[in-house]
Amino acid sequence: MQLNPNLSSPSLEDLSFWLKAVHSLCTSNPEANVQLVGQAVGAQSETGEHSLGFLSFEEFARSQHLELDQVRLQRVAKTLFRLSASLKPDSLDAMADFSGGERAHLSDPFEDMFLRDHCA
Amino acid sequence: MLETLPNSINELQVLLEAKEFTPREALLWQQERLQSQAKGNAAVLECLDIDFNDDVLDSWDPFKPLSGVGLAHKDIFNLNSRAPGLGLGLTQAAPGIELAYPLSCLHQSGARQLATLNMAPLAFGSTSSNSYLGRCVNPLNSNAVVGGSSSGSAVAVANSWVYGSLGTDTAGSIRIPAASCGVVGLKTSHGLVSSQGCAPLAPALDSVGVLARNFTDARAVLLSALSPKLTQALEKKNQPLQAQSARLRCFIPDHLDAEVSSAILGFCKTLDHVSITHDLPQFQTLSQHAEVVMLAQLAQTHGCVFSSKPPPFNDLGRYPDTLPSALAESALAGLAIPQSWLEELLTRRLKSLQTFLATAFEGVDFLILPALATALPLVHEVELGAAGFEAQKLLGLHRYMGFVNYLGLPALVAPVATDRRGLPVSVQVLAKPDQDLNLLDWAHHQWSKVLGWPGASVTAAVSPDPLAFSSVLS
Repeated sequence: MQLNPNLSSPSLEDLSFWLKAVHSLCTSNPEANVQLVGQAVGAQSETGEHSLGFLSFEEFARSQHLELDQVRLQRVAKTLFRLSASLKPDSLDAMADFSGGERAHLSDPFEDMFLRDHCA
Repeated sequence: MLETLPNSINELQVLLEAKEFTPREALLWQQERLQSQAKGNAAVLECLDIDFNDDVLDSWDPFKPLSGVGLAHKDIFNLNSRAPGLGLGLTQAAPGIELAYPLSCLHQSGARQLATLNMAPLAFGSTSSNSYLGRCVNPLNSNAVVGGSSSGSAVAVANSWVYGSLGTDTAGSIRIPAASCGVVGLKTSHGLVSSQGCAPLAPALDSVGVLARNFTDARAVLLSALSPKLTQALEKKNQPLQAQSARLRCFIPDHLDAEVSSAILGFCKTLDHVSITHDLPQFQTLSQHAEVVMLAQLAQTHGCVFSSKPPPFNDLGRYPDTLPSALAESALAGLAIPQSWLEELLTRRLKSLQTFLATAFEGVDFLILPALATALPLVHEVELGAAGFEAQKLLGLHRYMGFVNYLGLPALVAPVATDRRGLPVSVQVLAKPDQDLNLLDWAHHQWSKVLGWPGASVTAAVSPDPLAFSSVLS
């Protein structure tokens, strides 16, 4: 899968990809998320997976009859992007490694994790 | 029989000591008054029975500072053998459940709970909008919003149905409703009042606090909601402060609503030692930290209900099949927040507090801020989906609230003026940790002695000038 270059109008697949990627990065490297997220959803951004270890993002949405459509995912992503900036305000500049948002920077385990948690 | 309710708890105690009537008679009068006046009002969910055969009610007891005092509380606390309704109408008999600790302390002090009060569903909402139990009506103006989530508490106090009410405040849930109804609201230092027996929303931010018509009543209720040991410790930490010499700093944000700004500046003119600033250190960052913690913890609190893990409040007997939509959406965002963010912000909290005390509080005792960011909105202006909805007015209800919870500071709100419509404009005053009593004592001095405000009027519902100080700052 290649990332849709039109980041202002990401597909659901793009969003899902970035949700997984950003969460993975946030978990392993909290400083990594901001720019990545910004790239993912055209400076709106990202994420969406369980952080608390007992209920997945998707499970919860299903229990609440909340469809994980593009609008909702973007809304969550936007919230997360906005809030992430308060944790690491300098990280936008520090994330050159991820400029371009190339998928090559994200190894397969990220995708595996995403598939396990979100598509099971 | 009483003809009128004494204006304050202190006045009531004086009359009881003088044997003008018994605590039983005082409570009976309050109960009958509440039942007749609140009938059909969405603020009061259920009037509770009182054991009038209790010998304690025979005569005034100097060791019971709330003797004969009727209170009513947000329906978020456990009662004896009864789970709270949480703004969803979930109330049910639940054998084995014990009275919430602060309510137990109040009972020991002689107070009796007259009713349970409406709240935003699951304590998540900055207005009184409640599709389950109905919307609370503001006694000052039925078109004006009642803030949330302790909506029923503010309405009951403003209507003078009770002397005071316990509520909870996670991101303004005591201060917003108090500001909307022109009464005193105290968010206590985090952890000061026990939350045992109180359903959580975001435990790191939740504080049990008090709504009352005046500062002395709020003080009396606060002290009686604590264990005797904690009361002593708090009084020791609050060495008497000379109210006249208190030093203050007032934060007037740029682009603040003109009416609000004018009211606060007018209030500042009554103060002897105040400096004005337009910059509150780290305000935006701290506000976002509060939001992260709240979203992550509310997801933890309510998200786990739908998993195999037991909810953190095991006493809760029932739970809705789905959460209110706004809460579900926020929980969804909370579930997406990496655990590392939450942990980092909870770790950073003490350092953030130290920095804030060293900067914003440098050289001052109290910090004055706006309560609401705009003049009090009308209901339709903050009702999602309503014609005339203004997002900025909804956001303005809690803009200056959440960061206080993150820092864990005590804060009170009280009215300082009325706007052009005659609705209250309140300020928020912050104190250093555990300075709750000094905050109340200073406020009592400032409002009653300097502004001449006697507290919200006991005839608030019918008085043409219920705030009784509209000309102070004109």
